[in-house]
Amino acid sequence: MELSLKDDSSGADMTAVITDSSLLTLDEYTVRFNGGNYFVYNKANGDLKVSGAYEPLGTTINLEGMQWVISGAVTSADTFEISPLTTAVSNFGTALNSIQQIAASGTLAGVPGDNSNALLLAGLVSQNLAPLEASTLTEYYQTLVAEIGLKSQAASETLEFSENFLNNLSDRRDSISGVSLDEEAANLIRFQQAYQAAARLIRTADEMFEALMSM
Amino acid sequence: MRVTSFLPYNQLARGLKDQLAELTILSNQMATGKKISKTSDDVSGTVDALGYRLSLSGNEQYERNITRASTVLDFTETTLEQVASVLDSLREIVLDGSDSSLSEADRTYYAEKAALIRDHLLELGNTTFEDRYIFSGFQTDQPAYVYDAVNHRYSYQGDSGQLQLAVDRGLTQTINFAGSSADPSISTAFSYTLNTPQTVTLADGSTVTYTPLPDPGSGVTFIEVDITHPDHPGDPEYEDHFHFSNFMEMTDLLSQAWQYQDLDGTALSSSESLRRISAMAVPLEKSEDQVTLVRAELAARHLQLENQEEGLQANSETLKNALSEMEDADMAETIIALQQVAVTLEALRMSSSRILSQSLFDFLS
Repeated sequence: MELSLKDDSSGADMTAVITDSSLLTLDEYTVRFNGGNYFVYNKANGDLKVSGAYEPLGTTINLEGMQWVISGAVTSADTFEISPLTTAVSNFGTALNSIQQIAASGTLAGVPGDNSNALLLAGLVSQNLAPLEASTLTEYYQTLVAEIGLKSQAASETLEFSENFLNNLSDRRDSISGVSLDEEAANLIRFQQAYQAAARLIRTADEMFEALMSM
Repeated sequence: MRVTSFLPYNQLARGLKDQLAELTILSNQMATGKKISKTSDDVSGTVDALGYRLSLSGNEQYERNITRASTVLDFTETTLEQVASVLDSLREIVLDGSDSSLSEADRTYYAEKAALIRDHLLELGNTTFEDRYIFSGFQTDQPAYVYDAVNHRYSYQGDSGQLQLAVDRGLTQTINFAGSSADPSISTAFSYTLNTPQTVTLADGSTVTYTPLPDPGSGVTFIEVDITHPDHPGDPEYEDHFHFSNFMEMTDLLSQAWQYQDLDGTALSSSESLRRISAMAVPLEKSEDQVTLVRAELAARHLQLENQEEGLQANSETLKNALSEMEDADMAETIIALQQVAVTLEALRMSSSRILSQSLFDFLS
């Protein structure tokens, strides 16, 4: 992995190397100069990361796993941009590109017919490994599968319960606010008949009145 | 509870949905032949099935390894068979050629025959299988033996590497034999070692002592041969010292002795040469024993492999049964269940179509 360096200075030089790749962050940096001091900013949000006196004969800055050395005359218009990201992807490579590079041999130098390391590697399958909570690869995977299965099962059961609950509630709601056609039909007939009875009463009264009037 | 008009419709819809879901599950089981299609169907069953499947694929790899190991061992066995027959013919000419009344023509014949045997042994020692030297230990890209013309030696270029193949969990089988070794506990195919010095007396009364010594350079054991005569102590005519570390060197010594010369071409007297030839009878016998021993070990490895393979096959069979038991759907059961669901579904559709299509209005004229 290497750092990408953009030099926007008139006369200064800068070199940048990675000293500890485990300390690298995803940040990019801008170096500016002012009044004999240097200032390192986070390029994205402008936070000041580090600053100090600038020594034109060679200033060494150690920051987040990198070492930068800047030398030469600087002006306040000069900037440097350093990024561990820009070339990271383009520098990606496959470490193993030949069958010869597989470390099957148990010795550092590598012996052509030696497969003892490959055997040890194969033996890992039945070994209890500390990072996997002291279980074997197989056991750990089985636990993982079981965990996912149980969660999925629990989710299905929760769904089923919720559905039943919903159905039950809507049944109850319908039972109160719903319309029963038979009920309405019966009522309709009831009221129709009441109406008819009332109409009959009125007609009878009317007939009585008519008879009375024609007397 | 008051039953409203939509209630039976809703219930019918739910019933249809449930029955159809059941039908889908069952027909999926029919189609795949598996009763578990996802982990949540049967968590413990899936986990068990996973374990079985992993063991099965492991077994398959071990079986492939066993086939590979058997092939290599078979090939080695064929080579060693030839070594044994070559050593056998060498012993014959040693028996015939240790006679003092040999004519020069006879000696030349024996010398040439021994040289041919020596070269044949070298060829066998440098046998390759799939472009790998099988008697070089781990140094499979190096010929096991090369002739060192300066020191007149056949030096071993391999190491004591024991190439192991995994044939079961935590069990490996060695599939190669080193030609020579610095380690006396390793069975070597082209040299033998002695635990303690051995002494024999020749027909002329000379005493021959065979002492195992490690080569200061390579560490490979060689056999130092000292010939002395009790009646002539200190007499250079009756004293001889030479050493060899493998079958090729042994045969080379014989071939040179028939020409009345040492390995480097220095002349030897006829009696010295004949004593050398007689003194080689014991190492030759030891060499043959060594080859027999290696072949016996090879046969034992072969047998172990066969037993292992049988074991693995039986184990795989059990695992397959268990796996099938765990995740395969019982077809008869599935079909019956499927029919039951189909019948229920049909009944539900028919009865609901009859009942739901009616209301009180149908009966009012």
